[in-house]
Amino acid sequence: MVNTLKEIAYLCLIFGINLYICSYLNNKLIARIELRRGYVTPRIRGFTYPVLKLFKYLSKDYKLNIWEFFIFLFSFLIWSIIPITATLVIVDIDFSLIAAAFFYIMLLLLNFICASRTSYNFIFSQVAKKVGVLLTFVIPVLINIVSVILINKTLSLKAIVNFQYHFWNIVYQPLGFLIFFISILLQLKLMGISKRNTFLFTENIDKEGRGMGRAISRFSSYMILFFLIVILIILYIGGWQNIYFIRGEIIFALKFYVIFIVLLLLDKATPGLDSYKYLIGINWRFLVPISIVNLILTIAFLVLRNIYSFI
Amino acid sequence: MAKENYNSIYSSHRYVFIERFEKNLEYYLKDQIKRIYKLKQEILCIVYKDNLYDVLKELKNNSEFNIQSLKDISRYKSGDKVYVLISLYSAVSNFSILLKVSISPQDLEDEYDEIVKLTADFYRAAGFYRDRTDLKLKYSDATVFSQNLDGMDCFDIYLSTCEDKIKNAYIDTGICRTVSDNFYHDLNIISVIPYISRFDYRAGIFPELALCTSFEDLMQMKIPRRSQYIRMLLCELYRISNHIYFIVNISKVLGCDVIYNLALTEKERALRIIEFITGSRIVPNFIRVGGVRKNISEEDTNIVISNLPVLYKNIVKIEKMLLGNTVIAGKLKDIGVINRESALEFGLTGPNLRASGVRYDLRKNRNLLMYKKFSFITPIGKFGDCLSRVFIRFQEIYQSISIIRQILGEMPEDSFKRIISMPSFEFPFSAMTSSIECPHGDFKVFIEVKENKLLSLVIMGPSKNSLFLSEEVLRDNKLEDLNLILASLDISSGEIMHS
Repeated sequence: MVNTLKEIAYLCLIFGINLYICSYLNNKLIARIELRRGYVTPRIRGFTYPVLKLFKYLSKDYKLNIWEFFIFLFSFLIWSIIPITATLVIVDIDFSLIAAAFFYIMLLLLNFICASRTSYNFIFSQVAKKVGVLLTFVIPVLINIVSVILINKTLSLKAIVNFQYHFWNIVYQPLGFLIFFISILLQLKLMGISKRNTFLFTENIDKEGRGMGRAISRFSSYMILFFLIVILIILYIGGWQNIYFIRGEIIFALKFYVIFIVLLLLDKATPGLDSYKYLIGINWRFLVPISIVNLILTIAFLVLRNIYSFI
Repeated sequence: MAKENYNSIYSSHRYVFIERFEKNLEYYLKDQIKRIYKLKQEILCIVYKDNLYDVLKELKNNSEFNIQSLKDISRYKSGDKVYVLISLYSAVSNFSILLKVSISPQDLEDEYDEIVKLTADFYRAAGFYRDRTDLKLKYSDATVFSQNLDGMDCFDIYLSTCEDKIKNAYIDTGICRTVSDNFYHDLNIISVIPYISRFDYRAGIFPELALCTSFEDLMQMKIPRRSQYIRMLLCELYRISNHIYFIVNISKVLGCDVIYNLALTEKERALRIIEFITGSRIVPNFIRVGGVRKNISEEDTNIVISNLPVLYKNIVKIEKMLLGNTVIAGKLKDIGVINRESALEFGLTGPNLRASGVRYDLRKNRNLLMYKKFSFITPIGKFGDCLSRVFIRFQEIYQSISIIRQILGEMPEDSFKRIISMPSFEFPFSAMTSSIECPHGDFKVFIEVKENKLLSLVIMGPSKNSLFLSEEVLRDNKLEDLNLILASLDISSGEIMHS
């Protein structure tokens, strides 16, 4: 029991620090790209900005509905089964990959339910469209996860990382990695984390109320992004595997920040894709077919290797 | 893969599969085979020596049989006659077959050599069963005698080297030769049980279980649920203790004294639980035909429940210390690689086979005891090197702990006691075989019974396959890695014993 509480405390600490750094980096980098100064570093206000923003949310309104509470809960629950390091996992189960995918889809659906609590039809249709598009981006991700499961023959995230000590899975699944990465990028675009004052799930909150609900929505968007990046690292690029004498935990953090910054830069370097038709086109004409091709290639490889011993 | 899954889900399908196999055998090899016996889930064929070549050729090449692995070749005496028992299996179709060939006692050595040579034409692993004195004297320039470390005390290795690399290795198990294996001849069936534990002294329950299940199969006995659960509990405890012992050996070879001592403590913990339940560590003498020796009390289960979390926590700590260390992981990586094909060819089973990427676990594939009721996975590796084998062992410890938790949670209360007198049973002449997934692999026992005596008892341990395969594995590795590779194969000396 004490051990579990300790692990939860560690996790909270890690997420607190990462949320702080990521939201700071997000605002600062984006401001620089937009040729603004952003938060001025020498002043203390620059460093304390994310905290100030949280207080700002809290001071505005105290309203918190049940769905926002569920989002908050699931944003934490999703991390209970994902191993952050070889030992730091709260619930160690053998099918953690399936559980993670389930929690992720649940989180998206909860966001949808939460956003649909509006009296404006226009807002509802907008949000429904956005979440619908977002959910379609899960399809190529799931297909690629199937390919990874076929390669690794396990459903445990821990085991998947453990057996990447020789080669990272990106060697076997370069196409899968590419699709996964693009899918994350497009989801990031839809969630609008890098855009100023625009939120996917909080369009109604902008109009009908702000405060704690908005903070939680923001929090859940970050959690979805963090989750996708961590899953990408675990599935394709070695997770917490050591590199030479550098500890795996440090490598993991480095990979996380490299991917986060690359995603932010790519997000800004590409035009804002607000046209849903275009986004759906990318998904169904590019991501899904290529991930199916990847799956077929993987199955063919396995069949030829394991059943006919050709390769 | 689909077939394998289907077999494991629908066990009744297995009987249909065996019947189909039997029909195929009758169809293709009607003239060559003298008689076919169905031994529960396996088939025993009595083959004439002259027809052995054709039978082996058909079994290997015909896609209906597709039997690719040789498990064992044993010679045993039954009455006045001497027989050679060839055990073959296919991991893909999850099936094994025994070929029994009669040889004359006068030309015993020559005929045995002839049979081994015939088998070696189709199964490369058979080459290890013939006399190789000439080879080891001719090509070896260095000798490593049996060592103090457990598992390496049962053979000498003759090496031919090129600088610090091993070019060829020849294993001689002569040191493990016993005077006679006829210890069971004058004993009652019940008295054989404590004697048989010596064949796998690291996990003594498995030989007992294999022997008792073969009798149960012979008598078509239905076992009470509670005794099945107790059997599984002990099996998993022994599996944990054996795997921790494996980690002890590996850490000793690597020179990690801290991990060595920590792992020894945990092994002690596991063995103490076993001792508390059975009263003994090495020779549990706990399994009986039709059940177990005694019921386990609430006190016993409480001991297990209180010790399991500590055991789990400490194993996680040991795993982190052993595999989180870059230097140690680097030492284990890429050494002693066994690829899938050679693992199957040499009849490897158990964690060593699973480390090479083959999902073959008798607990799931054959629905052993009542494992079907529990949710657990069979961890499989990818690269088949030493690191994979260590990973698999750790994963199996966690799975065993999870199985034990489930067993204790669902332990049925119903139990009944009925004393049966085994010496009063009188069997007609009959044979039976049974396989158990022991910590090293597939532990197989073949028995022949007449009246109330065991006519013959053939033990086919999995360590023999690992040991013979090590000759292939050692090739092109460095001399300094010899101990590490042999320790990673988890060889149990008891199984190598032969007369």
